[in-house]
Amino acid sequence: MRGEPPYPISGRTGSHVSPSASETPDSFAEACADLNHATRNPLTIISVRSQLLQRAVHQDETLTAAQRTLFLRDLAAINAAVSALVAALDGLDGLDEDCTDSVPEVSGGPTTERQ
Amino acid sequence: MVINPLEDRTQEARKHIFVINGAPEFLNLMRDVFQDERFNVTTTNYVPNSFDQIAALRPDALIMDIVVGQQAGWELLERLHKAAATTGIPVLVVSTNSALLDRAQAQAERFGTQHYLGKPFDLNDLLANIQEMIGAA
Repeated sequence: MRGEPPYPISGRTGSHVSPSASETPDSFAEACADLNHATRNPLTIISVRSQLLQRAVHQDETLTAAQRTLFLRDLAAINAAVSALVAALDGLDGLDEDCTDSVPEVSGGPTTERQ
Repeated sequence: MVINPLEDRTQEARKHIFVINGAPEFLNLMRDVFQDERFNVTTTNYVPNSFDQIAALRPDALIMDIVVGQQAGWELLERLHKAAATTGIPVLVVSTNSALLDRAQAQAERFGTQHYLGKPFDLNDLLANIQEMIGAA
């Protein structure tokens, strides 16, 4: 058992949801904008908070080497998960409503289909 | 990354960051980040009153969130850039939407913006931008 984390997560809870997120979007582009807004904001919070925790773990001289290793490993896993989600969102951003790349590879040429 | 060794910086001498964002969690985060870096921080989630606050406080840097479909943020940027009292305040535009960042960059002269960050961003990138902005102020 690892016990209580030495750095309590903030008691501030709740999440911000775009006012339009609860409504049906009018278009694929609007749905993507809603999705981006609803996901990239909390991802920013997770990412920056985990970076602040990483700093704190490095600076806390009361931690044992083993504890520090454990915490840094967990924080690295969180950052990796955030990066994966951002990559997925970036991929979605590049698609149009036919699920094809919105930017043709060759100007004036056909778009490249995605799987 | 620590911006400056500011252990002996007095409250009055601290640089001042003003943050506008609709999400309370983001404002809390920015407050924690910049207070750790020994900045004074003012936050608001309400754009319409922000101009008067900014003009009165004259912060050293402004972090402005631009959201799809909300014109008020653009209008505030333009007004800040035009007004003599606020025109020199460096602005960091942040957004979840890359097209909005592209627009801010393309119309930088109109909106008076020079710095842009897409969400989610890296803590070090945020601090590096602020350091550059305040160093250039």
